[in-house]
Amino acid sequence: MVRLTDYVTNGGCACKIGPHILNRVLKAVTPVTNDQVLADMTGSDDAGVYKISDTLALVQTLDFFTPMVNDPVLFGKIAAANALSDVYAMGGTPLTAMNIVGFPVPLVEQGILTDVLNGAGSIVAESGAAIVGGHSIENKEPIFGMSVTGQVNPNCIWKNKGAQVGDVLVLTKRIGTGIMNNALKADLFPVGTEQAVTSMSTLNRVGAEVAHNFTIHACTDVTGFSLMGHSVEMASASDVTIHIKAYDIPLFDDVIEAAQMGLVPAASYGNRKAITDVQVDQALDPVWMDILFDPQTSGGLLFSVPANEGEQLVEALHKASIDCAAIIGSVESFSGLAVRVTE
Amino acid sequence: MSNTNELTVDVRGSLCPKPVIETKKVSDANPDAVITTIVDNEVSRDNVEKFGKSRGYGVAIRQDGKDFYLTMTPNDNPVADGSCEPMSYGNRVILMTKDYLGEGSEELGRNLMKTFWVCMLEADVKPSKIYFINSSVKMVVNDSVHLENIKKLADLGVEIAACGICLDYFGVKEDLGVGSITNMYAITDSILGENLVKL
Repeated sequence: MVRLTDYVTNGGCACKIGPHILNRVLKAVTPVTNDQVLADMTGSDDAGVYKISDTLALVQTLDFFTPMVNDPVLFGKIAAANALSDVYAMGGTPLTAMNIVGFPVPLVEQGILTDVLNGAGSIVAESGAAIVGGHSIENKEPIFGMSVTGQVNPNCIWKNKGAQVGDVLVLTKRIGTGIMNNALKADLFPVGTEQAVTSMSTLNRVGAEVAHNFTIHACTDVTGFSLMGHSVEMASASDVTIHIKAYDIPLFDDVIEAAQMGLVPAASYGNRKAITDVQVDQALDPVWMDILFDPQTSGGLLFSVPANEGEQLVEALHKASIDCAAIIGSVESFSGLAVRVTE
Repeated sequence: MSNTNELTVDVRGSLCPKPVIETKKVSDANPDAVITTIVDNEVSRDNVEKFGKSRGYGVAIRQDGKDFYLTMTPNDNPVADGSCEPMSYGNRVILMTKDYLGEGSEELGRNLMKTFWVCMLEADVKPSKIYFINSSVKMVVNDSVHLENIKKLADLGVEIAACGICLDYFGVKEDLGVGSITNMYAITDSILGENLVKL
């Protein structure tokens, strides 16, 4: 049996180029834009948005990475859910997807790529979008992902910007996929890793659909830059301070124990170095640093909603079988730093 | 030192989580052994240290070039590796505000700074933390002449933290060679609440 993860050094979003390196590169690149662009990388938003008419805009995004699990079908599902997530995070509906493939020929010959593509296809089908093409190259490490196009009403885009003082923050998936992916490689913590695998291969579609019935001031999906990184992006874009309550964050079972025994991905340490606009209460056990900065693969949506709608949103998410949804913090007036974390 | 029940796990060249997994395998099979794990990157060093502590080992870390030797001793024994003797920490926090010592002659101040780090290394009682702000952050970046001595202090357990805005201002954030990046919030807390010496 092929172990896909044996082919790679860093699986999933843990294989990202560190934000501190990427920012330096992007600073040196001349932006290419026009008046129809409503969102691009300058606002740290999750996807690009391009206005077609007063009621229609395109949402475009792409995501690819190396395997974080050994089952090729599952890898395809996770990659697809992760790529589609950015469309949901902008408040959009996915329309089309294309496959992005870099694969070693021996794995292709063993039928592994077929399994990956079928896995991805099943998730795209669930989203209601169609697969309309793709591109593949030979590569030593297997890489798979998707480019996704969706639509959104330009007046109802969910951006990072817009969180208002007094809002509460609602998260729709548990935290800890980076740590649990390491646990998976070590064949440890079967309960928590099973939960993480299920979570990573679940679309953010239902969470987004439920949230469309509420007042969403800001939204992002929590992925490679960790709960801290994406909270900082939302806080900075909105000129507020986000206050996260660590004990309210939904976690996979055993995440704390796995982190304490050192199953912490390198990207977590990288995030910690790059994301400095965060104050973590010293009363918290140091293991929380590993969790707060853990890179998420196909993580949940983080909504900033008016306080009087927070409980109702969580209740509605629970009713829609998103059992782990929880209020994890609140939005405060800017106090000199983007995010603070307390017990 | 007896050779019985001492095991070595050499995982140089491996990335996380392999060093932890390999160390765990050896630990599971030999719960009473003293285990030395050799790694060649800081992430693995931190992760194996976490593993050792989570299993109740006493963990001693020795650096040799770019390799780290983590010796894990089951807790009912004293720490076997003499290279990391217990040391005493004062409760002092030092705030470095520039990259030379004192006022009057900057040239003299730069020489004094070199001596300062040597003496600090030899001092019996070490500070608990050293913060670096303004031009002093140049001392903790990769081409600094002080870097080696400050790294040794860090290895001895002195917390080293440099102001992120200051590193940005001098354009050296990518070159940080030791310690962590901190913010004015933490430094202000320290100024108000701790036994602080400003240099």
